[in-house]
Amino acid sequence: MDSLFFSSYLMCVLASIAAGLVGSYVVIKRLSYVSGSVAHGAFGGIGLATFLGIDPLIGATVFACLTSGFIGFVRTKAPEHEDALIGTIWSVGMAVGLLFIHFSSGYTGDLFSYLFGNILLTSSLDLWLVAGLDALIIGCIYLLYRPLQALTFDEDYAEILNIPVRFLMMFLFILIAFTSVILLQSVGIILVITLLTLPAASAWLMTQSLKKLQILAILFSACASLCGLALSIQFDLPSGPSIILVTVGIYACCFVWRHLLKHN
Amino acid sequence: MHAPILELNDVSFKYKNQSILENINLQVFPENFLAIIGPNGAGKSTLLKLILGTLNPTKGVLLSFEKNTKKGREKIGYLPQIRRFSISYPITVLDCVLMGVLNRNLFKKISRDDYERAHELLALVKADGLASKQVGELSGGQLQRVLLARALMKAPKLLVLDEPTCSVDQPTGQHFFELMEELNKDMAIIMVSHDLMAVSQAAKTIACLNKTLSYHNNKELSQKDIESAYCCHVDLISHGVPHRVLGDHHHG
Repeated sequence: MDSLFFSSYLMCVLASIAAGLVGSYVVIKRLSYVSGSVAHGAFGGIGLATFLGIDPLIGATVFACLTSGFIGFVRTKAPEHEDALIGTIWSVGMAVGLLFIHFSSGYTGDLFSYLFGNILLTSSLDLWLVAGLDALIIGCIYLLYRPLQALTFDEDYAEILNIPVRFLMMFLFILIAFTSVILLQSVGIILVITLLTLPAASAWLMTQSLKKLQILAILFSACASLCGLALSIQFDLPSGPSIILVTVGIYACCFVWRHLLKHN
Repeated sequence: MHAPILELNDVSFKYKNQSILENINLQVFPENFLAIIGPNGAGKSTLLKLILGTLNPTKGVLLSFEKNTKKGREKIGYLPQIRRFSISYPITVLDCVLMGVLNRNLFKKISRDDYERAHELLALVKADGLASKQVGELSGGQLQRVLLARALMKAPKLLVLDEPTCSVDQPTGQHFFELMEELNKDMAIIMVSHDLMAVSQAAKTIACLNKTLSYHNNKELSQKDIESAYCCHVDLISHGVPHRVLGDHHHG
């Protein structure tokens, strides 16, 4: 296999690990709009980094962490404003990004791939970075499995148990930020929300155990990414949208299976 | 007599300049079973949040186990209202009960003893066949018993119940209060309810709340207390001893 394609397929698998693990919490805690907002906020960082002439991925990571931290802060201090804030960051992130790109000199063609993704641009540095983040996410979720379960199941009770819920929620938001940046590479900002939520939502239709849900979400995500990428290479289609449509297909199959099971 | 395990001295709470609770004075002792009654909007939930340390008083001092509420709540078991969280969450009954042993140490491991205690408590609340079921599959009464087992996991010295009769039928409620009487031998209980009939069965003392608290450390309530709490005329109903709630009622 061509090493370019091999890197892309490997990236699909690595990105799916983060998407499945973190996406499960996003879905069961109903944080999908937070993840969408963080991904769009990251575009502001991409624009600024392009303007300053540094790696856009660094800008995206910094902005994603800042926006998720800010949402986490507002969520605790003024929860009544959380919804409006999420919508605002969503559009302001895009606006800032586009303005910086407008003022940037030179070639900015790659920016299109940040919007819609182009997994074929995966470098070996990207692979190492994502593998490292996967290891971090797996380690954190292994060590904090019970507190994270308590937080996402019954936040009020977790607080009464003296579990540091604010720290833990902020930590979860930072994990969402890192995962959004990872996925941004493969499917682009606009489609991150789908890859972060649909595989986990599909898995939730199939199982009622959090551990199994996370493993299934990784498998669905990997399956959708690999099939989507294969289709895009075979038929010369853009990779991001192909991956997303396969993800939707998997969700539809799980939905039908679940309802057939219910009626039989 | 023991020292109070919970002490509220002149506690008031305001939200956005609106007074919710005013000058609450209350002492709870280890053997108490106190019911706090009051109409909707009387500040019952706010009072519980203050006791549990999720809100801080704007005035006054609240001590729980002679410490601040965040420290003191380590010895408090809490049974929330059932509707306060998503029951579609993918979690088994056993995992839900085991949640009760978690604390500030994020890396705390669940021990074999914890598993054994969880099973014992599920048996105590008559939910031993439910351990592997999903929380979302339970009926209202079953879920309440499971959440009670969760509250008992850390062997609390004070049990706080928020509207426990809200979503259960009468036989379930009957068993629940029998269990409460049994638990009251080892721990104090505070129950918040708008259901006068429910509190009359089990509580040893009753307090009336409507922004201010009327509490005389006994089970007799005057018509004046009730009517000032409910802001309307309330018919006096007496079940007779041992379920007498209200004083003798003489027609003038």
